[in-house]
Amino acid sequence: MLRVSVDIGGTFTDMVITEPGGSVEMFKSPSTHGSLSDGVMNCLRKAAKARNCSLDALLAEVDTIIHGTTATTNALLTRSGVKTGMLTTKGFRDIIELRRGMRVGVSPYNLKVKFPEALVPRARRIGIDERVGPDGAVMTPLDEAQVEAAVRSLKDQGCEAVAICFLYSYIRPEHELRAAEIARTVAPDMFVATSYDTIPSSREFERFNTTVVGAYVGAIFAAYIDQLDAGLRQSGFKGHLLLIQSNGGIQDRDTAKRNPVTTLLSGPSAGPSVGLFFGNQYSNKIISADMGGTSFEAALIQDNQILLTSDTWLSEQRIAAKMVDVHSIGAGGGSIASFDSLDLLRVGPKSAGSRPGPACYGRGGAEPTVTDANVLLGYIDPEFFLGGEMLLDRPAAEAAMDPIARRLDVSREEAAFAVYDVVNEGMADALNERCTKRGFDPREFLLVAGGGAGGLHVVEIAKKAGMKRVLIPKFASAYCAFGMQLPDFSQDYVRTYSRRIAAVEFDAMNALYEEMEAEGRLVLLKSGARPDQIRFERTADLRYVGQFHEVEVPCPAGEVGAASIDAVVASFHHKHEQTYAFSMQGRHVEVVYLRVRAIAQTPAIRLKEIAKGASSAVQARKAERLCFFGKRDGWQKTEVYEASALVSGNEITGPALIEEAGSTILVPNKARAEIDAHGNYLIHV
Amino acid sequence: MDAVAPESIDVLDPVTRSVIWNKFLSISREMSTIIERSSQNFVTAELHDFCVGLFDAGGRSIAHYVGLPGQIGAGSLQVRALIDKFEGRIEPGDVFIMNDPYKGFGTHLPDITLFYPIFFEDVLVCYAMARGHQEDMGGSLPGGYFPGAYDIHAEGLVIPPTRIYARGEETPVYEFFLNNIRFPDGMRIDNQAMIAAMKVAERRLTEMLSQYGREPLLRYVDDMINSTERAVRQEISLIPDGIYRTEAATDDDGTNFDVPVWVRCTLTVKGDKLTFDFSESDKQVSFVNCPLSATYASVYSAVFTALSAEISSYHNEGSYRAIEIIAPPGLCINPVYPATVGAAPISLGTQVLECAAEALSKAVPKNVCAAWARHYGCGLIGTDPRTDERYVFLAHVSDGGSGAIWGYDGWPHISPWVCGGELVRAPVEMLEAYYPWHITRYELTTDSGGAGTYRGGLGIYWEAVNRGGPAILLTGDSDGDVTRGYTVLGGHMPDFFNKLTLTSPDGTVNQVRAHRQSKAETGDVLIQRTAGGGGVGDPFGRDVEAVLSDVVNEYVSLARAESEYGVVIDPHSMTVDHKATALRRAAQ
Repeated sequence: MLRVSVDIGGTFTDMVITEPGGSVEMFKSPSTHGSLSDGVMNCLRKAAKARNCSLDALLAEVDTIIHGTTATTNALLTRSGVKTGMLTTKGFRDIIELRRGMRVGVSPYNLKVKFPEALVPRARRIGIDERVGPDGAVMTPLDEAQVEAAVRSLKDQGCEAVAICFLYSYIRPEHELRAAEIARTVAPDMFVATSYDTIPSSREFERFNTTVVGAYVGAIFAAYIDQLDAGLRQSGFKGHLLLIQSNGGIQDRDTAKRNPVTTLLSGPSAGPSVGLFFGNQYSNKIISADMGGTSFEAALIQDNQILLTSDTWLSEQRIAAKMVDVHSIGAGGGSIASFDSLDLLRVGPKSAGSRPGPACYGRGGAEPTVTDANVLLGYIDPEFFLGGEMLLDRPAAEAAMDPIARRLDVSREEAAFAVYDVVNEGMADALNERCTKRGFDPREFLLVAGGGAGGLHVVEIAKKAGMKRVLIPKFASAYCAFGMQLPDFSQDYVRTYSRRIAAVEFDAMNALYEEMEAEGRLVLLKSGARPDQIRFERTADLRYVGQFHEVEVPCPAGEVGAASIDAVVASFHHKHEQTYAFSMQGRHVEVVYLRVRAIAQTPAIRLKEIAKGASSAVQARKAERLCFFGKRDGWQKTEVYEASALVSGNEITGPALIEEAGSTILVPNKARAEIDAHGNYLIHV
Repeated sequence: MDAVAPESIDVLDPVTRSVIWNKFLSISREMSTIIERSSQNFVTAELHDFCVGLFDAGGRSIAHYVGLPGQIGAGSLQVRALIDKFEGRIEPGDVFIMNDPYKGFGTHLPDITLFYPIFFEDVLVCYAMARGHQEDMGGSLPGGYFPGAYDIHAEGLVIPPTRIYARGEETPVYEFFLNNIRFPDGMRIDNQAMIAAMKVAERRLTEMLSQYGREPLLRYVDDMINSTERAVRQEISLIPDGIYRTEAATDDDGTNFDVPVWVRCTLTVKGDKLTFDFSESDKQVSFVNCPLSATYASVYSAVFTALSAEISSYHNEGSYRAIEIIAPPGLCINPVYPATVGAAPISLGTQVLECAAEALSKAVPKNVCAAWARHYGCGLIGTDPRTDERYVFLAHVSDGGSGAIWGYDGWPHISPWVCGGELVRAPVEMLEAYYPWHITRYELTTDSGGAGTYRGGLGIYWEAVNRGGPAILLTGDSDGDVTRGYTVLGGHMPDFFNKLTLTSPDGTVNQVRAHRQSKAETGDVLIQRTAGGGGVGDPFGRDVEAVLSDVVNEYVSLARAESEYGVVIDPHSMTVDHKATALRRAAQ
């Protein structure tokens, strides 16, 4: 049986097919922007052809397709979600527009910025008479007639979705649940999302906006996934269609439909799994990085855990659901180099994208990009881009780079190296900031990296961040698609339980944990998991009394009692010290949220080992060319190796290039690459 | 990491230049993150009323990046006060604290500033700064925002530059100081958070210093400052030369009721230099006085927002050099001891900012926004019956909108301008848990934005019931019951002012004006209704579809659409009557 994973990127659709025995195949096909699922079918056809079988025959063999979708992310980025309405507590209908008065990511001195409009305009936000107090008591009962009238009015206006968001629903959800019931009766075709089902935690702007985002993209997701599923089934697919969710785990289609906010960033969320899978044997502290055409995405992994966050802003919308903490900066192969009025050389965030693309693509791009720099430095062979599928135009790259050279008053290659160096510094700074935020030191981390542009940059990035080792997996160019093969089923649950530690009631905590676990078990069983595959991870969010941000720490499994509470508090002090450089042992501590992650393990992939050989990689040498390494090191003879001819045990000392079909790896001067048993590159910086 | 050999840096390497510059900005962001995530006080952690900065050994600002503009602008003055007092006696591991507006260039007393010297190879290279608004600084009432104090000592502890850690060891004066404020545990956590942030800056800077060497790095810092000065001067030279006069007032000083206090400014633009002369401002009064540091910060904010967005994140000492500020001592914009300063940097910082910006708007109207809504958010002090603990509620939940700028409508709820939209408002679900106030309404107000081709951001209607015991109500940080700012290119201000009322259970309604101390009894309903920001350009020039959308969303009423914007909309079909609109607009 085959397990297929598909990642639809902006430029390419990547597909990875694995067999239980350990064979792994990769396919790439241009993404189809009209109907995204056509791109998936094209990739499958390509795979069928490679296997000399019909599409039907291939699909008959496939028992699982795992998919990372950009449908919802794109709907949010391009503001093309469905017409959505909102029912909310009367007197509070502007919460999602007030945005807590924040301007996010904009300098206070830059006022020429358009206000980020709410996804539901004010005219479609309807206040309902109802109110629950902070202690959970009903102060004003739900006016059901108003709910019914409001839903009818939204329906008449053509709304396809409604978000139901009441204050304190995380303590007392009855009003929201009842309103949802009414809405489903009045408008059976409408997508109904409640804030309680989306993310039952306190802070209304965060909860409401997350719910609205889910409602806004929910119908888009449902239509997309149903179309894809129907297309696959028509072609003979009879297995499970699974989705990567934003917390990095997988989930089935129906679960995703119920909470579509979990499908955001579904593609990039799979990346860190690659870091974990390959890096784990070398280190328990890993940074996973994926550098493609327009962005560089990094995530941290510690002690087998991909770190998550509930602080996400995506396309100016706040999303408080747990998501893989993927930090994205606008640095990739297509990033454009330019000067600002301070005469500073900046690279990105503006990108030439895939159309027109870098100047060397010869599609009319005239601005100098990172890829153009790589061509001029000799790192990319214009004749062997994407394994020779695309010829690059070197003179166009030269013409684009010359203005930079003139402005810097240096040679063309020095200008190209400046672009290369500046973009690398930006990515290294991003890694540093990521680590500081968590209280980590990047020098202790292993960098696992991939993506089309990653191989040429990561070793330099690692060097600048003080990291000692880099691992570039064999499947680096289809980084996320490979990552989709790896995660377990996982569902995150949260309950608000605000108490000082001294006032915690064990029974109440046990009940909440058990409630979440029961819910998780049910969902996982429905997804096809066996009871013996299911396990739970409990955590609690704590803070010092008076603080406003919490620290999440594990809670031991089993009956909650005095001992487990002591353990939770001890981990809290420890983690606070680690993250913020101080802790306050004598200070009162309070718990705010209890969380459960329900996990059902999927079968682990066992990769086949590649052939073994001696340390010399002479058999894979295919050429030698001059590459430029900055003013001091100048042009140097650089060996070029053919990746497919390398065997385990080979060692390559820089400067050297290793050409894969989908990407090229640069081993800089003084660095040394070892080929491991599975064909991955472990590079000592 | 490769060290750059010192001899090779006679000519600065352009790549290293970009890299170092961005690293300094990156360090500031890291410091800011740590403070935000680990502070305990509402104002710092949840509302983000803090800032960070980095200065060289001579006190020049290297990276002016993260935080409230009103707080950060004057860091250089502060670090120089520290240097003047302690030069030659500053050791690694020392931490200094200050809030004195007179001996330490503070703003108002709750804004506590910490400095941490950073050494490399035994030489003092830099100072990291972190400043946060604390819940309390002693004085006769908690929170600091109370008018009518006898002198600055009645407003709280006045701390000149003082060493609270000597070579990493706490000094006795720190305990003395904590013992004289109301929430010492919280203050200790907040200071810890700020110190931790500054230590991260130390680690990062040490890495940079090891990589580049001290002398080379400092040469790049010189270059950063000089380049910024060049860029700022270049932009200023495009502003038409001339002399521009403006004035702005606050409602009163909280002691002499209903007597406005005026700030007056004469801007002289000449070549690549701006001179802001405030000599004709009123004499110092009480409470609303704006200490020199806040006056500087406000002028800088006005100028920076009028420059190109491209350099908005890159300002430093070099930016200040093209700006001269004349503020004679003894006036309300540079008070002298023992004047009270509780309302700073809000009042008169706002008026200084408005004066400076309006003056610029006369020269370059399309680069300057209309005035933002005046700050509005009362303080409440009382006891929570649920815990019997004292509370101080300063949530800034009723602030109005920002002024429009040519090409862009204003934003709702992000005032005041001295905070530059960096303040974050507290969630209802957190406020009600922390304070015994039941919030019943928190929404935008129709017709509260100033009309214009580009409309001002809307104001707020905020209503809550006191479920606790009697509480002291302070309106010290509010302003704008009778005064307000300016508009640009014929835009309008909203047609009502900020207003706070208390309605007692028997139905009696009392207005409480800004800069007052009053009382909220159990069961009283507090309503704060704020105006929005000013508009820019003639409202009759506003895009008709934009007006229709404003009406559909109840940002603007039907009546207002016709009277102020000249757009006639059929109330039944909610479509524009284009013919009637054309007539109405032509008749203007």
